[in-house]
Amino acid sequence: MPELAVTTQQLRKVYGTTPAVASLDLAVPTGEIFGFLGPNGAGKSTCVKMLLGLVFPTGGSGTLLGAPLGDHRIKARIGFLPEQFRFHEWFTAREFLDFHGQLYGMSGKQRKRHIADVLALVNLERAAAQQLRTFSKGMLQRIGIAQAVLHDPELIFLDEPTSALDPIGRRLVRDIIRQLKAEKKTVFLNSHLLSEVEAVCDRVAIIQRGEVVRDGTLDELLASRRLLDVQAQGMSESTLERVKARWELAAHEGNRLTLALTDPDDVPHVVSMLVAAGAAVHHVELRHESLEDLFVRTVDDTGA
Amino acid sequence: MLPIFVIAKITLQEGIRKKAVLGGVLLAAAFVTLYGLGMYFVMRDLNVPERFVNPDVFRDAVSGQLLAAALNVAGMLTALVAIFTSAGAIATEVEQNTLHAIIPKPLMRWQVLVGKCCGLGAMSAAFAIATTVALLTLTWLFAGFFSWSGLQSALLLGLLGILLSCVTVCASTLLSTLTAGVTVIMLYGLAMVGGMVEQLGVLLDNQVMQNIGIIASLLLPSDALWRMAAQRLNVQELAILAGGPFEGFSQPSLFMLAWALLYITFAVLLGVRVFARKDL
Repeated sequence: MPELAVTTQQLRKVYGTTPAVASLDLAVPTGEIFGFLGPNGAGKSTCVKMLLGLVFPTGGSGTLLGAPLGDHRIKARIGFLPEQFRFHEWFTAREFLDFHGQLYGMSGKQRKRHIADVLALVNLERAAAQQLRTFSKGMLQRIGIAQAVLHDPELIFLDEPTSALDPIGRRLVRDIIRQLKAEKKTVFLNSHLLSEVEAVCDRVAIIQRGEVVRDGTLDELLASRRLLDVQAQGMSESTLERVKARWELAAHEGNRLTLALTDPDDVPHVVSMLVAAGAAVHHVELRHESLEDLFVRTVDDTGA
Repeated sequence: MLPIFVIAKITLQEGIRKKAVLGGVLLAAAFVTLYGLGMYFVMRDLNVPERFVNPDVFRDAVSGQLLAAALNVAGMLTALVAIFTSAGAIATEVEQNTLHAIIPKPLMRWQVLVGKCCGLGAMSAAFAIATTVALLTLTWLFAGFFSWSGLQSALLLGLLGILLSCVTVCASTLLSTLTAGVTVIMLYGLAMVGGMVEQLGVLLDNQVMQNIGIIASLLLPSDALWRMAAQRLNVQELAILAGGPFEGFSQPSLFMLAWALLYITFAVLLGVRVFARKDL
């Protein structure tokens, strides 16, 4: 098994004269959960489509499980849940999975066993004989995940897998992703729900206008910066100016401010400065930067 | 099971569930019933003129005319079913993103397209053959007129269904669902009018008009296939009711049958080529 499950080198897609993906360089290690993030229109879906052969790149190259993009032999080892998925709604859930099992080239015996397993995995055993047109959005999303993992793939692309799910459904998907990781699978997760990504991913890449603007393991990215949330009454403009001159002001709204600290030992200095300036400090909390903070900061810095 | 057959099977199953097919089948059933009733009453009340020494010849001529006219309608119904069921074969699936879950599977794009052509072609052919066989059976029951070559007519109309399905699937790789359907219907109409012009040309001995008809048949050999089907019934000599007053003067050569088969091959290959490069 290759060390990298997904790689791209200067992968590019241009529609007419408009670049959807400018130049994408990715490296997703095997066995990791990879979060692929970016604002709307950043080129995430186009990139996933290029990796899966739905859209043809204008330039650049890439590999999936060590094979070049477009190599059909690799497809049997890959699973995919599309973002805007629509399935043949006249199928029952079992027929639907059987159809996809046939497309994966699975034998009748394999299909029977795997279908029962994945229906249990996504908690849809009772709906097995129900037509898809009677399914709720959340159930459709779950059956979509079932077809993506039906053939026990090594690499799974999940494009917005929790967008239609309620909190219980989201937890189920989170558990499925963790189970896939425990089975040494690689998961390429494209999601807007940053809390979900933060909860399950080992590594993320944030893209902007079709280029990676930040990537790394979550630990690396989130540990480098601490945020200090302060709630204080009576902060004057001049006090704020003095604070801003010494520390980076990440956010400010009313009597709440958030400072980015490079040194956690600065917390007493911040409090001292505010108290000395006559402010009444009610609450102080030092925390790691969240993925959402990192995402917003990155997108703001690179000019969304 | 090979991916082509999996796709063909699913296409066939989906097509059968479509309202266009159900409507076509209901219309065909109504049409066949009406035809049977008409044939029954005509044969029961027919007065054979005294100058006919053998009344069976006259009865065969009348039932043959009715059958040729009915065959024309069967051809049109086949065309409508083939075009309406195939117009969205690729276009609708692209618009609805249904293909996003299928193309990344271990199969080639050409297998998806060929599978769809097979499924839709089989459905249209089965519709044409079943309708034609029903017409032949009723004619035999009520008029006693039977010709084994009528089965060739059924197969030729089946080929017409396959031709139009494949051409429409090909159009569906290039155009939206509505545009693909309208385009092939217009092409079908053009071929039909071309066929009439050709017959008029034969009647008036006008070579230009005949050439226009031949060119129309080259553009889409649907009318040529229908006329070959009518010819197999040996009723074209008297079939003034069949498709207007101009049927039966000139019959397509076997070259047109070969052209129809080549045309199907070209349509599928063009569809494969376009679909293989299409961004989804």
